[in-house]
Amino acid sequence: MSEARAAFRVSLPVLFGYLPLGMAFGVLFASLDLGWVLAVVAGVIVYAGAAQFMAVGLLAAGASLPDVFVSTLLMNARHLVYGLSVLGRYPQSGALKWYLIFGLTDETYSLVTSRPVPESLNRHAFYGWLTALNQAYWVLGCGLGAFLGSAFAIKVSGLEFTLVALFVVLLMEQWAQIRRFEPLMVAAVLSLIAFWVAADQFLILALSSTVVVLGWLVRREDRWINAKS
Amino acid sequence: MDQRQVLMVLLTMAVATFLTRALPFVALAGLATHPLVQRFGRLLPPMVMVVLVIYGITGMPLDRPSAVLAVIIGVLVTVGIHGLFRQVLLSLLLGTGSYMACIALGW
Repeated sequence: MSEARAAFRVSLPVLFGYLPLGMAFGVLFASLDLGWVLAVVAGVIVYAGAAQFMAVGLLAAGASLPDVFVSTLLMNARHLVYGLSVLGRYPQSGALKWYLIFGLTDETYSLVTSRPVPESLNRHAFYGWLTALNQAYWVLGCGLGAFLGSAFAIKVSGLEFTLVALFVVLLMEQWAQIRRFEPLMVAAVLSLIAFWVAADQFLILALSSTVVVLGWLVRREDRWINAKS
Repeated sequence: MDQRQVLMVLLTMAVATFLTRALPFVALAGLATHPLVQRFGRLLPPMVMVVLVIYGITGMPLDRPSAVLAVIIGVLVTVGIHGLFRQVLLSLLLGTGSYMACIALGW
């Protein structure tokens, strides 16, 4: 069970991020008067922050199923990027592989790629616990928020900064691993361009252009980006 | 809208979300050990993290100069503390704490 304990330690920042965020979703969902059980179901089977918030809007608007399907695909297209860079880390077969893929959220991806797994531990079991714990926090938040509903005015002023801080910290951890400015500068410039072109589609634009440009640079074997660190 | 319809909407979203997460694993399964894919997989995460940091920061309320200042202070404290101690939880605690303190003071 030392994998579980290690994964719990690593997952704690996500607890503080997902609980308030999941509760925010739950409270919003409760405004539809659909009961708290369906909010839990959403957390269990969809398990995607931004898409679930969008779901509330789609449900309120009475969107058709094809509309729901296409908008969810577009909203979550960024996950394609995440799969690309954990291909080698995840198990190649089995039920665990598919659960890990199912649970590949922004935050789980960030932890899997940034935090080293201690040598003595089973890497795949560690990822399994990490993914399951993160989802448990999320589901708990969704359920609590919807259960407390409008009675609980969500006023956690500033706690949502936790996820920004988490990404900042993980960027520093990534930096310690590669120690190269060039790839980071490329990503920063592409982000600024994406923000300038269409701020409301920022994430998908910035990530897809990052993948294309990095793929191109890696294929060309440019020395400045490919040099061993 | 009844519970059945809502469940259908949620199931549709679940399938679409899973598709976006599973596609690379199905489409590129044989490529995982290719050197170019490995190099790609090593360089991509830090670049994604830059994007996520910018995404996170621009997602915060930045409508007042004091709110912008709070974000700047929060990020600087996070970076400083993490550079000093390299303890993830401590960095998050003090970084978020300093941000919340700035917001509460409402400069």
